[in-house]
Amino acid sequence: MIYFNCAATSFQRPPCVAEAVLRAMNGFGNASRGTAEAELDAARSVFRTRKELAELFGFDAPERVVFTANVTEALNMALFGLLNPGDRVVATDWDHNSVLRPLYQLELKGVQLDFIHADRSGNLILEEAQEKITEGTKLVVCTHASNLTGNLLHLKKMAELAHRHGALLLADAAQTAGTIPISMRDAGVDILCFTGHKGLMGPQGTGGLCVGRNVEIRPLVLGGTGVQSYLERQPDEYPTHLEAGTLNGHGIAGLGAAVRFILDTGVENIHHREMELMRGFLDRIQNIPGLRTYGNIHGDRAAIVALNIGDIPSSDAADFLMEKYGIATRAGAHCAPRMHRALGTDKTGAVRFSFGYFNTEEELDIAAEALRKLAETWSS
Amino acid sequence: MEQLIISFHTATEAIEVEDICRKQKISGRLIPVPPDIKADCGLAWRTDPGNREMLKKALEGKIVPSGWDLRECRY
Repeated sequence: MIYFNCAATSFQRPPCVAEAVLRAMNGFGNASRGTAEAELDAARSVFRTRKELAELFGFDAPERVVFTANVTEALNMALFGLLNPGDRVVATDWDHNSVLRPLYQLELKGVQLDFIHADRSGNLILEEAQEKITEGTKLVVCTHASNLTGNLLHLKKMAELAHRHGALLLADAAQTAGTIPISMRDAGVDILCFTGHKGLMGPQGTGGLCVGRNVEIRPLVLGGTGVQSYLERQPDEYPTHLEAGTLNGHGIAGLGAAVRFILDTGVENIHHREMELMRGFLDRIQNIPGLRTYGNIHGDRAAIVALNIGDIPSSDAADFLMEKYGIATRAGAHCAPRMHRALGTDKTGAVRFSFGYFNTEEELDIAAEALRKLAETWSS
Repeated sequence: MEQLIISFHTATEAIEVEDICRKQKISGRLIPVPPDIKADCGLAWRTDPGNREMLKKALEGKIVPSGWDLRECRY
């Protein structure tokens, strides 16, 4: 199979990831639940992974790298733990349902919600950010890169705007963690939510959030932490404040191995390679009749290309690619309803190609040939 | 045998202290926190009392332990 659905998960991972998970499953106890060597090995692995994630994200407080099962849980934790009735939050049309659904739920409870809209080309209308991020805004939520078009948001500019009005900036790095350089310190990001299994190339079931020292989040989940057992509330200290219950120690071991691979390889090098693949793909498909892409395909971006050919339903196109060529893509709405409405693709959906570090030029050739054939088949 | 028991607010701090001590070759090991020590992160660092000053210097600006207790240990 040729896997061009890397925005959904990484699929091809460095071998060290599975090896680390296996070692952990065969040797780890429960981190923070005892002091036998097996427990300490698990705790050491979790500790090391926190530190390396902090290094990767340019974050100065490794003890505030909190592990969750995925980025959706991390986002829920941040949104429900920060916002109260009457608070004002500004999000964007680029946001994924993992942000939108919690926000709609919070809106029902009295949180004031506003959006920075995207135009018909998928670009965020940044003048709206100036108008909507005002005094009294508590939080600005933005996805670092659209999971549909791959377009990038300038985090530093958003953080400056948010901070000028006393708001915090929460960045959803679901599509960029591990593939695009991020420095929370330089950009001024207050909370960064990440998933472990996409660009970070770790196992599914891993993710988390980096919570700046200036931010206080109410725990979403309460329970055992292995520490301060006689305390009736959740301990105040991070990371246990937000980590009730047993951690995914096996998954985190795999994530740690993946992060070490990324740090050794260099995020810049990974980004460069993915851009090379994406540009190679765009070059190969540019003359296919009836093919149109979405969003701004120029400039720095995530390695994602959304497209349609003529009026072919995206589900038919994705099925053709898989059935005839063994190419995995993703059709439909991609959990990005506001972005599809902005682009006018809410009826048809789009076929999303998303590239990863381990894809090859030969695979791009086959994909371009497959799309050419699809266009011919449909027009004949 | 008298030992120095250093306790912490979080297990993360305890593991970091182990890391620091290993790098700086300061002897000791992680143990379960004795029940009468209030700040319970589950883990404490047990070391020779003679290492106190060296440890204080090693942790300076990095970690503030919740306690430094001298204990009579049977082994």
